[in-house]
Amino acid sequence: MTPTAIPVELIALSGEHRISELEDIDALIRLHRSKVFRFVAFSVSDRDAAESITQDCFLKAHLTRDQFRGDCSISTWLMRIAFNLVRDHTKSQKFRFWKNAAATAVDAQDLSQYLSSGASSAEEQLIAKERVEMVHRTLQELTDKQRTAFVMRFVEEMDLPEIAAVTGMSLTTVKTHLYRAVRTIRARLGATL
Amino acid sequence: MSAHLTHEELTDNLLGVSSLTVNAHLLSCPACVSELEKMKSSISAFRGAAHGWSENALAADHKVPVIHRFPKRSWSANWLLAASSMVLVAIALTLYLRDYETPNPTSAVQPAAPVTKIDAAGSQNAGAQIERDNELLSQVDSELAEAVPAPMQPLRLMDSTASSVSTTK
Repeated sequence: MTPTAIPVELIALSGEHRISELEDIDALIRLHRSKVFRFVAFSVSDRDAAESITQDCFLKAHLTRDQFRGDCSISTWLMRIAFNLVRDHTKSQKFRFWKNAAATAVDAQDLSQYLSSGASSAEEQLIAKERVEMVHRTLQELTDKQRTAFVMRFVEEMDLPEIAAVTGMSLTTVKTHLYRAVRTIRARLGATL
Repeated sequence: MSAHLTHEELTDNLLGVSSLTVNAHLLSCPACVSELEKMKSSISAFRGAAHGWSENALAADHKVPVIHRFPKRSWSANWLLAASSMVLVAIALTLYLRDYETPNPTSAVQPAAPVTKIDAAGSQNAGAQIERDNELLSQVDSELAEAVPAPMQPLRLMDSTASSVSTTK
């Protein structure tokens, strides 16, 4: 055994520990539901659809838990399932037809109500509110891949290799989508504020 | 030293992968710092609002765990559901086709009355027609029974007159 080699026993224990975590579905939902829901909600921009897809995600994870090999974190695995479900959802004709008429769309003004009260003055609060609404509106203008990369990086704070692992894109492609997404949002912010 | 940071350099800083050169530039360029801070604060505010919104949405709508609301159905249950659905469809189709092919008793009552009227009138007409036919046949028989046909009757009268004249001579 070389000094730099990773002990096989540790890898096996880590994998077994992760697989055992999947058995406790309630704990799994409690830990990861918000993250999955948020990503799905901002991807499909429909709260009801997001709830449904989030449920499907955990159901699929529970049913296919035997297939989890433990080569990535559970969070990454769940986000990969959610990403695939969102992709299937956005491809469906039904989604395309109802996309612009979703009655339960995630509203920008509704979102800005949940701003943290870190800003001291009323003016700063107003500016922050306008910026949040602007970022949210601009998200809808981005392509699916740009939006996915942006939400994963800047909302869920996932690192670039994890985003690449979830989406199946290369690191360079992920960075390219992020550059374009940030450019669009920066342009909107610069034009209005 | 270049004027300002490029978009890619600013984005790299947002992503946390900026180079030492970029960091050095930011130390001496308030414009780039201001631009970067505006982006950072906007994204940070959006992240905070998104987290607050999602927590509130999930807490308000669903107290029941997700999986419990959608109990797992086994493959056998799915097959049973599909089979029973097919049986129901087959029964409904059979009933529909049976009703479609056999006349409805209630709907047959109404046309029955005109049919019987038509039959009664038809039978009366048929009786009259038979009577007329019988009369025609009897007339034909009587005409056939005569030795000289009706069109030849004038000749017969002339012949008889002539014979009577000759006998008188």
